[in-house]
Amino acid sequence: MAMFGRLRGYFKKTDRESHDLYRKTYCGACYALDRRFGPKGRLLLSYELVAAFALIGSLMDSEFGLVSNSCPLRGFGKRDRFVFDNSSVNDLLDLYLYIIYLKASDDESDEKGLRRILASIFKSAIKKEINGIEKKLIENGFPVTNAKELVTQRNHVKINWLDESLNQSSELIGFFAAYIADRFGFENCKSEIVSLGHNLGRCIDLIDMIEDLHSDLKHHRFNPIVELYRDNSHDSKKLLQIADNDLKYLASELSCDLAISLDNLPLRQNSELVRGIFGRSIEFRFRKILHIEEQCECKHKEVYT
Amino acid sequence: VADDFYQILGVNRSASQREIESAYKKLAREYHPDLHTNNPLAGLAEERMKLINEAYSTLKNPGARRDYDFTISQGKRGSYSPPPDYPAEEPPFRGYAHRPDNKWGDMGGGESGKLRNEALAAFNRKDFQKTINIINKLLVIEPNDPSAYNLLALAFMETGNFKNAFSHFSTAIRLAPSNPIYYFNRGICYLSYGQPKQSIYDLEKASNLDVDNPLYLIGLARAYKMTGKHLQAKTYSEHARSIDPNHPAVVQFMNEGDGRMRSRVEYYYPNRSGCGCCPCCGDCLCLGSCCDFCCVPGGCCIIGG
Repeated sequence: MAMFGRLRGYFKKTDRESHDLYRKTYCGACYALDRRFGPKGRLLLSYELVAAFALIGSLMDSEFGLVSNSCPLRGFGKRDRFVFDNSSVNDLLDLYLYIIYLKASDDESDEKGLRRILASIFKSAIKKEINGIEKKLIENGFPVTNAKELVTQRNHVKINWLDESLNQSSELIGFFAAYIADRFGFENCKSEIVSLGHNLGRCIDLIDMIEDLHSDLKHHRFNPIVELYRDNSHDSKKLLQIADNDLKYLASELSCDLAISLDNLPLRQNSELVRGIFGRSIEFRFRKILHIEEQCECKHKEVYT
Repeated sequence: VADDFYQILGVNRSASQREIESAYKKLAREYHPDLHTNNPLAGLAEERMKLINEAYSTLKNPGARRDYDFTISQGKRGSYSPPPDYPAEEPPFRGYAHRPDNKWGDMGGGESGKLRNEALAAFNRKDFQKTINIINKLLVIEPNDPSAYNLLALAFMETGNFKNAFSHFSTAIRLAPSNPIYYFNRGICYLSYGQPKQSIYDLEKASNLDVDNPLYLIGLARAYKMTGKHLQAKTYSEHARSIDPNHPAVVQFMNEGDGRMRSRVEYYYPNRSGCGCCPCCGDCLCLGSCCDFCCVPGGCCIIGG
């Protein structure tokens, strides 16, 4: 399970408003972790948590409160940040910690060497808190058992098509999205949020599959691309060339699904922020890993950061 | 939809308050009645301005906008609640369901022939409740007529009573297990109910019983697309297109594919004028996979440009 680090914000260099909003959300998420889990909690910050807060803020009728204070990690100058502080935010952070715990469990059984040891230490450090959180999640209706099964699932079953294996992150993020919708009172657009979660998860699974191809080949791990387009050479570049048409078609269709589900969201504000985090980050990642930019003569490319 | 407030203002569903306000101001400058006092089309401009005002007064108020979004999303879904696993979209495919033809009405003669003709006439008038009443009378006389169960199920499907529709399609299949029509109709019923996974079994069965029927192949492609299995969908739709490229279901499916691509390009690049990916437009927006769609020189510029 690798689902962190994918949802970075991509905004036009000239779009200062989105850059500012993203920074305020980022700092707000970092403070929220501090407030909930103590200063060590800040180490858990990821782009995905920032993305979740950005989405929630965009779906709400009014913005989160704004404060300005200095941050020891960012120098002495004062910075604006959103204040994420209510019971729903606490529920979200608890779920976030639980997802990280599941990832650590997965790494503990899947990885080798130092990463395995680190995952093991992290797991035992938060074990106490996790027991309480798990009980609370079950009370709030989060499908804990299904989530655990998904994380420990190993796709060693025979597959006939590449897209048959795009379900792990999809279902997990679907659960996550449904929980957010329930806890923050977005009943009216729950199916749209869940649909976004599913489509985002499929994209992330495909990106993982392509990016991990080289290391999966090296360590003889399961990868659907190897399974379906296997040749004798065991060369990841050659495999990607063989699968190129299917991968590009799939990336294009998944990107369409994602754009349509994003467009269906009844966003109240900051739509450009959400477009940059959830839409363009995936679109640009596909372009990068499928080497599309290199094949095109870009005449009027817009610059994003 | 003609009276969709978003379309009236020319903004998408995720537009921010600022975008809505600027769209309103732009339209008001164009359609304000004071600007058309000596114009023969002043009446039309006034009507348009009323619509624009109504749309703006709803969308500028976050609470009213949320209610409006909820109302239109319910309207889109019809009278059933789709399960949360899949995108809440109703496939525009019901019109292809097979109904009994006029020969069925002429069968049997006497009382049953009369009832058959009446039921068909009521169904064609879209008087589904009357169709159900007549067929119930017919089934007393002809309890083993699969076409009667099929028409009854179609009437229930049209009224949104999917539970009864599934039950009656199943009876028709039990009475005539080698007839692909009833499998196909039940597959469409599952699709309309938002359960594409279940529909795949029925549509595959129909396709096996009537090999190379483009309608059944497109049904399968649609079901696979809804479950995110785009590569399977592509295989089936291309097979259907190779059999009959002018079949209405094939044409509709391909047009929807173009529409998906258009939505995506518009979503990620809202201010662009060209679609890209051809010698005259610039960089590739279709991830290099849609050559049938926009890479043909001269056939490219879907967004203008």
